[in-house]
Amino acid sequence: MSESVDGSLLPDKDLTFAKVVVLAQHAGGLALAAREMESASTGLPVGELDRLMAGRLAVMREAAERGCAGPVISRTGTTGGDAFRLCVATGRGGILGGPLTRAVARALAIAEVNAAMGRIVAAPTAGSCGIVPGVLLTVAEQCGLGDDKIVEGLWVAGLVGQVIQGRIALSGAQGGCQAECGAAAAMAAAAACHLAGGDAQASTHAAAIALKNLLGLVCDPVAGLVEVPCIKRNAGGVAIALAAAEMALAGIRSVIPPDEVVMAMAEIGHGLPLALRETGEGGLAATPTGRAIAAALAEDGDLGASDASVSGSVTGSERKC
Amino acid sequence: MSGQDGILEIIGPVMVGPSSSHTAGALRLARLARAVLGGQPQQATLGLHGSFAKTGAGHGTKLALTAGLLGMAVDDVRLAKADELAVAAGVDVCFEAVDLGVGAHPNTVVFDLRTADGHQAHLVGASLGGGSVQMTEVNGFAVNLNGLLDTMLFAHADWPGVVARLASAMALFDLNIAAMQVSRKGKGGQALTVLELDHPCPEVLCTAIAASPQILWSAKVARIDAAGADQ
Repeated sequence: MSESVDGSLLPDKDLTFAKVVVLAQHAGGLALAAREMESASTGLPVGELDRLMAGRLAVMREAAERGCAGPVISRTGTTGGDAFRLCVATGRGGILGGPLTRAVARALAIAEVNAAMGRIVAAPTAGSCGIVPGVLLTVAEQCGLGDDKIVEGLWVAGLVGQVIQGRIALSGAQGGCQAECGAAAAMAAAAACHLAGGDAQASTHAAAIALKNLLGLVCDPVAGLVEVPCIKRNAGGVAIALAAAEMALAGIRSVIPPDEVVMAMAEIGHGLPLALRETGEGGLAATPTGRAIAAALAEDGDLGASDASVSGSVTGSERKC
Repeated sequence: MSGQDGILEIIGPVMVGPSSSHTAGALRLARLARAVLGGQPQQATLGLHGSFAKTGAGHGTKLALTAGLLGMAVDDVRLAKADELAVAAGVDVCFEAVDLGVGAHPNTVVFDLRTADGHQAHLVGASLGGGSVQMTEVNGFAVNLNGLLDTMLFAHADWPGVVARLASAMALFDLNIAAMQVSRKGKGGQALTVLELDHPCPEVLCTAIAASPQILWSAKVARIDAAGADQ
């Protein structure tokens, strides 16, 4: 942190979890610290910031409800309808039941709305947009918390994202899926811990525990699309985030300090081969089925994603140059 | 280090899916290009490099770029029909795959734009991830534009005092310069001054500066709003 002209705290390039914990102690909690920093850097009053964040919450909730109310199918037709499927099935029981299944269903729902070119909130990215709201909407429901508390949770989640972004760009192209779903799970875990009454230290450890479970996760989308495996990784991210938050609330701490976990994440991300960083060329994308889906989509023309489609995908209003 | 977005950029933008880099970022990049051009292009040729060329179609990247050229916001649900809207608006958009080499960012776009009255702009930029963008070249000048602040671009003669006069003009209107970049094409040739401001430059000032004989062209780029959508 550095002091600005008027004495308020501004984020600096070396924002760390350790600094965030100290800052939270002075500000009266992580959410207040996050808002104070954002207000200092944007010049917007805290009330306006909360209003903007509440707007984001409304978009998140709308997407979750849409995906759970009926099947939402992706633009390519490759995926969709799974959130609805899960909601219907868990209405009859299910092995987990309760909050975890609802959180997973919400994450799937939002990720499906995203793939269908619907409106979502990137948190931190569009590919990982289901995790933070899936966790927060469900924790709030479980703990009987109002929207003002969920908004608080979103500030905590954003602050955690900022800390991670100080070490590695939040994009699959640069850091692999650990920098998208991994970061989102860390953000969600810290926010869930905060909402359930955990202090700043507990929240940063919740983030670290979640992140450790997703370190090294590669970005290998079939046909390069934000569908397979991204949608289901949102579901997995929710489960890991909730487990991490529960552990941190019980007093369990990450043996490797949170800032060192982020350093490891950055090192791993920078070492990932290009084929496993959002190019659609390795991992699941390179499986026989992954390749077959890509080839089939390429034949469809407009939605094609293979190299061959680049020169051939001139449809509708597009003309060749 | 990868730079610091505000928290409203981490939990945001509110956008139409499916990809923050390939859809929202693509749209913002094209909006930035439109702003530098100074209006709606009538003809646009977009060169797509790397991941944008390979996976762009399925992410709606071409639709998003087209929507940006039309000046749409990232949360505008009309994005999915941007190609039809472009036809209706008489905007001719074409795409080609380009290879800018291994050094170029995988999500790079080369824009060649022309307005109905013949005004032209050539820009190169990339979508960096999470909806963040960076324009790296404008009409042959190296720049670093991210659209996060209200920005003015002034191309001018590389003469002594021009930069000082631009700064003075901003001072007269009480405009704080948050960041400043100056680059030139050779000594005594053409120079570009980019001013990032804490508030938008008033029209009267933009017009007055543009009328100065030392100014070759200028452009006003509105900041991407904290809400993630419109200016």
